[in-house]
Amino acid sequence: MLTGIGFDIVAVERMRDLYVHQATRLRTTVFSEAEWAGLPPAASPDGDDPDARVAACARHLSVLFAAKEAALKAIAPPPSLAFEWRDIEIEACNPVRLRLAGAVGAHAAARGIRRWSGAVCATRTLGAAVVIGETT
Amino acid sequence: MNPTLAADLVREVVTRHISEALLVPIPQITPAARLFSDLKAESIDIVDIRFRIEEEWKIKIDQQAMLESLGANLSAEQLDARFTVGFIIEYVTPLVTAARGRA
Repeated sequence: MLTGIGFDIVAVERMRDLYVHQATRLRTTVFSEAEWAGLPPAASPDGDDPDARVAACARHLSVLFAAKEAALKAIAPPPSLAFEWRDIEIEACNPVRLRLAGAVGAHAAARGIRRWSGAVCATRTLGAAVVIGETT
Repeated sequence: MNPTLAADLVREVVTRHISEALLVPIPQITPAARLFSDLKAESIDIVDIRFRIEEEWKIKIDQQAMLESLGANLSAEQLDARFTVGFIIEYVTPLVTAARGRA
């Protein structure tokens, strides 16, 4: 049974700024190691365009962040629930598969949400995600 | 560091960072301004503001602890009302004072 649904969009340019200036903090406080490992590989010395890679990383992270936020909306925790972004890990995007931990995970479990689905998409300027939580 | 000086400095710098992150003119960044409903901040903006403040003073802001300090079992309206520029300044000031004391 459908228990929660969430949708979110993130501006790629916004994430690009964070990726360029705050990559270490993003990697250690918002995204998991596995999520970070899914970024496009570093530019090779034989001529890959570094700007294109930054754009691709920003798009990817925008989608992941949108999916985290969409999952949070689907879980619908109490507004003041203290959580960490890393407690919502996006394992796959299309279809969405995720792993929860911490207070957010406990709240989802308490609501009986056992199954997740959803999808993401990205344009040059926006990352978007819809996440659905079901009890069975 | 003199606590009054620290509070003044934190107020000035936090205001500037919020203004730059949200592209909102500084005069609108009052202590009473609510991040979400008045300044139209989104989740990614809160992440950005947090990182800017951490970078400025080389401090660590624990998001979970910060949210907990807003209070438990709040409604969405109560959370919005409490999550103000003034709250961030009050939360950050002792962290900055402690960091400067260690420096």
